[in-house]
Amino acid sequence: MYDICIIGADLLGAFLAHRLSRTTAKVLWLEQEPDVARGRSSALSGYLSYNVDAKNPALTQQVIQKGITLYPDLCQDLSIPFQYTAPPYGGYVDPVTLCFALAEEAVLNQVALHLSTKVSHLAMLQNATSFFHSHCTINTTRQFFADSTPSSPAFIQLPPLTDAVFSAAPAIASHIVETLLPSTFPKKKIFLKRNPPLCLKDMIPIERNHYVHAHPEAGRIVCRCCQITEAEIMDVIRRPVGATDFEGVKKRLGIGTGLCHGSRCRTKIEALLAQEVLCTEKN
Amino acid sequence: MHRKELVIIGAGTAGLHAALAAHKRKCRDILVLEQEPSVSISWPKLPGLTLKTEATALSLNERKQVTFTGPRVGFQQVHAEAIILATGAIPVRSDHSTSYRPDVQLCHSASITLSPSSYGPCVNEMSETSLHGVFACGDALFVHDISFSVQAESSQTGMAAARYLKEGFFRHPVFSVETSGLLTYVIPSTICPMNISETLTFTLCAAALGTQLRIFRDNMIWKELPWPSRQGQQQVTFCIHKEALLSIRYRLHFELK
Repeated sequence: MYDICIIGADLLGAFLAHRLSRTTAKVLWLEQEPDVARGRSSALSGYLSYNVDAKNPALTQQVIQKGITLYPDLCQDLSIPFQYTAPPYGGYVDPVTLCFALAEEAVLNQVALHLSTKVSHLAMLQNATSFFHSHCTINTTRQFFADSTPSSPAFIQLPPLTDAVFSAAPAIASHIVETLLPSTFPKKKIFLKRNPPLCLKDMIPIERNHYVHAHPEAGRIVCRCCQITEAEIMDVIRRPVGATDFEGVKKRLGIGTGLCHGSRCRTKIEALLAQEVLCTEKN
Repeated sequence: MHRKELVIIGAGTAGLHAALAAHKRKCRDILVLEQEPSVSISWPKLPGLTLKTEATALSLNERKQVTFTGPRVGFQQVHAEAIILATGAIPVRSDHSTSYRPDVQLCHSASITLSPSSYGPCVNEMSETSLHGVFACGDALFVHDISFSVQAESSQTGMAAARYLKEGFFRHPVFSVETSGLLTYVIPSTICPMNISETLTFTLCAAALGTQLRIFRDNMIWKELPWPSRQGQQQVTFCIHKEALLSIRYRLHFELK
């Protein structure tokens, strides 16, 4: 029995899951794709804009402003880069990196993430293959549920992800958790922080030399175009929300965006993925 | 930081012959970097020639410092007096087929001028790129046809590198050689006007056989040559007139009729 169910593991879902993982609520998180951030988050510009969206009249200037002011501290907490930009933009943050960081920290703090799980109906069905039960459902996707009548447990529908919604997302998440939910949840005592992802390019030469001698796989270059090593790829696969296919590795590390378009590294990465998945299945 | 006389990047056919030629010319401090764990050719054990397998060259800068990494070598930077790029070609996928292009990643990091026709670095008659003391040979220069002798070309490059290390040579002003149509590549892609005569080597498509080659100078037809009906590598020797060399706009342009 879950307190809250979030449908859709894109940026809005990740913000909600991350915000709820700070509380004692039991959260279920469902996504139909095999990985997070497969939705519209990769189509966003990443620039935080103060402009009001005409399609969402409920999204006022105050909410957007509040959302943008929350971003710098959030990015510092998650140890991801945040760039201040000149007006009319409030800053720049990579939406896909942000989504992965939020999802990782949410899953570390006991949010039950089920990937490749499509929600067919909201009401309980007799002949469904599997079902989950929750007090409240938050839908972040564009999927329409005919059963979402007022008689069902509380149902909240979120707007589609646009640049304005992206700018206001932290404010939307805290607004939903603080006011819209049927019951309030106290804060968790222990909140785990994620380890920042391994990045050999950021190391100074002496540090990197020691690291490569200690971990030989950090010396094996897999993607020569982007200079990504085997150690970085294994780190990405073994993370809390790990990559399960080439597309996932590509979104996390930028592999396959170089000169050869992945024709040299694709087979190597797929072999690493297969080896890792087989290991986890054996265990 | 370590210092080396000559660093050769890539231990394929081109790298081997460049290393042997340089070693023959009394170069006794050679480092060869290879990214694969093993080499396909058996390398002779020579004094002063070090081969490091599983060492990937990451970057090359304008001061001729090569950064490389590998599970056994760690992360190192080496300062070289001369560098030979023999990295080979990389596959480039398109929708229906895979074509090959020279691997110019290191050229990009050292901001070496690239040729628009071959996608490889522009070189002079000594196979030297626009960065002084950095040479290129093999598929790193342009993707070779099966009829082209990589061995001879890379040996010449090795010798040029050894000569550069020994005496160093003055870099003359050069003018570029441009190609169009079915002519794929000309070596050298730049010509030094100090030379009295120059031998140009062409690669030619099969479709161009039996046609006529036109050489333009300053957009005027200068020479018309009948093209021999043999595919592949061709050589043309011609004289450069001294008075024409003083003109800055001097430029050779090749076209097939």
